[in-house]
Amino acid sequence: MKQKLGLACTLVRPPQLLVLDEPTVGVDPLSRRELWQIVRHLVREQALTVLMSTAYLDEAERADRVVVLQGGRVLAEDAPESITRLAAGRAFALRPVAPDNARRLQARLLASDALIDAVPDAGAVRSVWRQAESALAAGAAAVTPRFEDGFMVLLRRTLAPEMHGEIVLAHPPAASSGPVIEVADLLKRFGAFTAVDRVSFRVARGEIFGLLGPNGAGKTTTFRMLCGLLTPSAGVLRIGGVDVRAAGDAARAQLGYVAQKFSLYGPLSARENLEFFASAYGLRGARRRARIDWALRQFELMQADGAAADLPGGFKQRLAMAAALLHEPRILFLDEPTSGADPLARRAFWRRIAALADQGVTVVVTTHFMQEAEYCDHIVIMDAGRVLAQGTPAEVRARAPREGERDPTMEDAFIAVVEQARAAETAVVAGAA
Amino acid sequence: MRAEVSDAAHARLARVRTLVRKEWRQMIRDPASIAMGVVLPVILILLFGYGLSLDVKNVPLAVLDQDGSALARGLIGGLQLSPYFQPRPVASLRAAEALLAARRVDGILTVPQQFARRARAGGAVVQLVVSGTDANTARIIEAYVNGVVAAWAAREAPALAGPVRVQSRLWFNEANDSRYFLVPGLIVLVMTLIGAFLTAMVVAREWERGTFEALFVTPVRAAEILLGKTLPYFALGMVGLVLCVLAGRFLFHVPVRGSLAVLLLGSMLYMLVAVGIGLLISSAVKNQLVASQVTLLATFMPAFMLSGLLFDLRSMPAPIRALTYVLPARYFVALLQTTFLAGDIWSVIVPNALALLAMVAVIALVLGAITRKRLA
Amino acid sequence: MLAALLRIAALTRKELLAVLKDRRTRLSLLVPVLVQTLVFGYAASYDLNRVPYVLWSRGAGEAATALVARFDGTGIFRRVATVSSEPALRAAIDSRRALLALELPPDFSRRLAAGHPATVQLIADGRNSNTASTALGYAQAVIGSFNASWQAAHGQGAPPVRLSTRAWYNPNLLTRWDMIPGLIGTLTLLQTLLLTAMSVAREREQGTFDQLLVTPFRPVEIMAGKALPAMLIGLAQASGVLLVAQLWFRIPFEGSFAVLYGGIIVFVLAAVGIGLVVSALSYSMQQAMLYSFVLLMPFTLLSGLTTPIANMPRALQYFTRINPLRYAIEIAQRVYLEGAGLKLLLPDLWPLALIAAVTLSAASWLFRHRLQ
Repeated sequence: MKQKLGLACTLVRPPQLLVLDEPTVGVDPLSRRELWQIVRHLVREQALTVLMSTAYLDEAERADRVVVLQGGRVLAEDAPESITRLAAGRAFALRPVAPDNARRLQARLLASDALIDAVPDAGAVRSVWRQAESALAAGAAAVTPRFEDGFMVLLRRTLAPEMHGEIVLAHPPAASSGPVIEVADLLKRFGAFTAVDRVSFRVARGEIFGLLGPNGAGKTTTFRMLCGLLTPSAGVLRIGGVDVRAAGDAARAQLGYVAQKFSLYGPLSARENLEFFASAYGLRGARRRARIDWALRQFELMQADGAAADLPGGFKQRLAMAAALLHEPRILFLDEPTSGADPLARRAFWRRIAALADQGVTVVVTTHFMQEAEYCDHIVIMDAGRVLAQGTPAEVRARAPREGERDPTMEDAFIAVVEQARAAETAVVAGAA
Repeated sequence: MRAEVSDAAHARLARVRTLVRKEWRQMIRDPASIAMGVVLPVILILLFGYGLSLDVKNVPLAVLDQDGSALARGLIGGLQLSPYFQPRPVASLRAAEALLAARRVDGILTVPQQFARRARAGGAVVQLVVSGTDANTARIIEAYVNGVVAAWAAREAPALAGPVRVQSRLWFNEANDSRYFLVPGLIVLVMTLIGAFLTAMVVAREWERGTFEALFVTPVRAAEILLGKTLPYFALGMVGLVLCVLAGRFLFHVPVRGSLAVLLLGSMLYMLVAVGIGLLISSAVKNQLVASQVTLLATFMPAFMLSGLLFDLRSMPAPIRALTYVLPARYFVALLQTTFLAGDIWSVIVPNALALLAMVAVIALVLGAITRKRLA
Repeated sequence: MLAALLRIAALTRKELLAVLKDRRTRLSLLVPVLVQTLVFGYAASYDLNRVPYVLWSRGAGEAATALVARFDGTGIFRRVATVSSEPALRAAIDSRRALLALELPPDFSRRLAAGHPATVQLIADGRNSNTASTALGYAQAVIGSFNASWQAAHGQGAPPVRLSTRAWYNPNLLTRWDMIPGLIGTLTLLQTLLLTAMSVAREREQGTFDQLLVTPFRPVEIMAGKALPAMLIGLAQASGVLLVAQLWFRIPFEGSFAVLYGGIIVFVLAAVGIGLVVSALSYSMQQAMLYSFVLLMPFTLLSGLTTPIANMPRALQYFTRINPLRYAIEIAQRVYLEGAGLKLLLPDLWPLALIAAVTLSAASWLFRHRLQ
């Protein structure tokens, strides 16, 4: 909404050039689509020139020309189709065979030298290979390349793939029976306004659970209740079998929390931040030292000197995650962890999350990135405080109407689900009137 | 050609008007601005008008009469009649000193034995002990007691009372009411608060949020941006001025002996300086917290302590006196105290107004240069 | 219990690191306090040491010369003009060139020589009536001493009565002696209050507050962790002012440092308590700052530092009883100048302790109930 208003202000007096600096960071798919419709309309009707920077590659694909920048240098300047063509004949999809899932398959594929890139997509793993032969040998099916594939090919020419992301837990959480998180008829009212309206879901151990929804859907409120930052007005909320309302301390001891802005103490160094959070979680003596060492090593923070505020974004994100994992929680909460991050940082982040989940940590994440929902085992789509859809990504995707050849993406499903719900709501209101 | 020029001028005027309207709306819808621009000034007016006073009245004074004569009683009677004292007879010096140590009285007046006999011959001594923990009050008490004693001497023993008699007059403030100079001082503080403090804080917030930069990419010119920013706070400051003058005149009965025109013009000049300083500080630090602290230290505190509002500038050490010459509050205090109490005295008004005008010019030049540089 | 103490210690350490690591913040906590102590120590004084005066002597003579010589000899009165008409005298005062005018009548010397009294006129510029009254007092004293020596020299006996004044605690009645001890509390309050008031809002704005709340920290522990560093910084600032008072201005210290520090600690507790209440009620730093200023204005103006509390109307005098600064200033001045011990200070200490107790418990209640 703010972005739309900002755009409108700039356009009151129609300019010839419109400069947009990452206009869609932190914006949900619905609003993003509306913003793009306005921009496209202006380009067509008013012959406006638009210069836009973005870390979202599906947006870059809609441009007439793109400039790819890396480390301050121009890697390419061309039409998006030409960049997409770099991956021609090398893009494949590989379906996981049960009980394997797309995420684990992706992790295995990435460990191989034969691949340039792999991401879970629509139930399969979308991958770009160095040689088409090896892909075919692995049983992958060729797919039409898209911009992101070409972009990764371009990037891999200069950048070696990072090997980080292999988090090894010192003491993985013990197996448990029953759900780790149990939410039933959760309700939160602020005065007359109902922010969260009878939400129910369960999360099992070692799952990645995604909370999706447009801005203002109530996912942040739900999230804050899960972390014990807000008291629910009504409903059941159990973390590890403990009622959060009755025993907040016991529930909180089991969870780690990474806030949206990577809440770190800016003036303190990485080590000082870790030392503080270690003490905050009551770690002492040898265990404290061991945990801080573990965090510095596993999250590659050894060489992070100086104030946390001056660290690059990727370092900050790793430091925030490390701080949240110091006390070896069973559950990790992440609030829009990849908002504004570039494609490479996003991949590295998800590899870490996947590794944590595989070792038994339960992960709850909110995101605006529908593609990223594919990494989750289960997702919930919320709007206006209510759950509109939930299930595995495949189940939710199935709710999108099929148009032509293309398999519906998670973004299609999201938009369809939210618009259906809003239309029904309007119909009810109209009927009442 | 001429039509083009007037078109351009028109466009400019329209832009400034739009900017001013935007700033004004922003200002009156922002609770922080309202608190700073209206609530704090009202608190200040009430505190200054009612709370601050250097007028010593009803001083509790222990009186020890060791003489007991009619003459001594006459002297003490003089104290009782004075509105400045509340004499409290004590029986012994020990008792009196205990009262002073416990702060129940502010001083001890001792009329010694043989006072009447010595007074008739000349050379009697009355002893006053004051507590120096508040030196200014102590000195005022001493002066008042001195006055009572001198009046008594002139009445009882005119022949011996000393050859030089003093008739003293306090021009511009015959009643010696400290509100007369505190209320004009209050205007300086209120205008500093609104002009410098509020502007610095609000504009620093705009820097923080990036809305100031957004203005720079619009076709608005540097001078127009500055004008648009300045005018609303300028107007709010004028509202503060009117409030203060009205409160001063009708609530606290401070006379306005000069012309309102001079008062208004002088205040406008100071307001421009204050807003300019606020803009300068905010564009230098661009951070609300730092801006507010710098403004507090650089404008508000000096306006209170180093402007001549309370403390006499002439008696400060040379380096500090030199420092006061670069503080705009100094000139505004002189101008206001004169306009309020003494009238339109051009020998004071003109140099002080010129000093303020020079400051406006310098600040405008610096601001213009900074803004243009950012636009380029 | 031990776990809670360790957590509080960790938070205190973190707060101190965050404040003191940055060179700019470090300087901003120390330099303004020292500069203000120095500047106000010199500037904030009601004492006059330079009184420009204008002389209108309407008749020459021995007595007139002697009186003027006495004025010029004080070192305080400086003759800026000698005029010969009333408009010229008026102009000198109007234009603020002179603070005081001394007018001697035409027959002044003649009357004195003949043994008759004569009346001189003293006119002061009342635009700052406090300064003017002080100057008039000085001038009266000069004339009094002239009278005594004239009477002695001319065999006219002594004046019937002379007032001999002795000032306890501050023999020369220097404003600085009471102003600088008063600054210990004033300057400490300004920054301690602001620092604690913003401590929670800053974390809210930076997003670290949620992070803190999901850790095992209890609200009261967070409060203690915020209070301790602010107290330490407040004590350090108070000590800075004290050092300047001792080493630079060399104001005689009559009491005991233990008593003074005892008073300062109770005062800093009260200041921190108020700051914490503000901090629990504010959602943004700007809000915290506004609340603080709205409190600081009456606290400083109605503290008795610049104008005496006894001069205020009764209602405001009652208000000063909940003003912690009032007690801090009284304690500092009395320990410093009067050498007051604990017993004499009890009437100041218990209200301060009460304010600290009330605000700290209010803050802990607010921290427990309003921090979400």
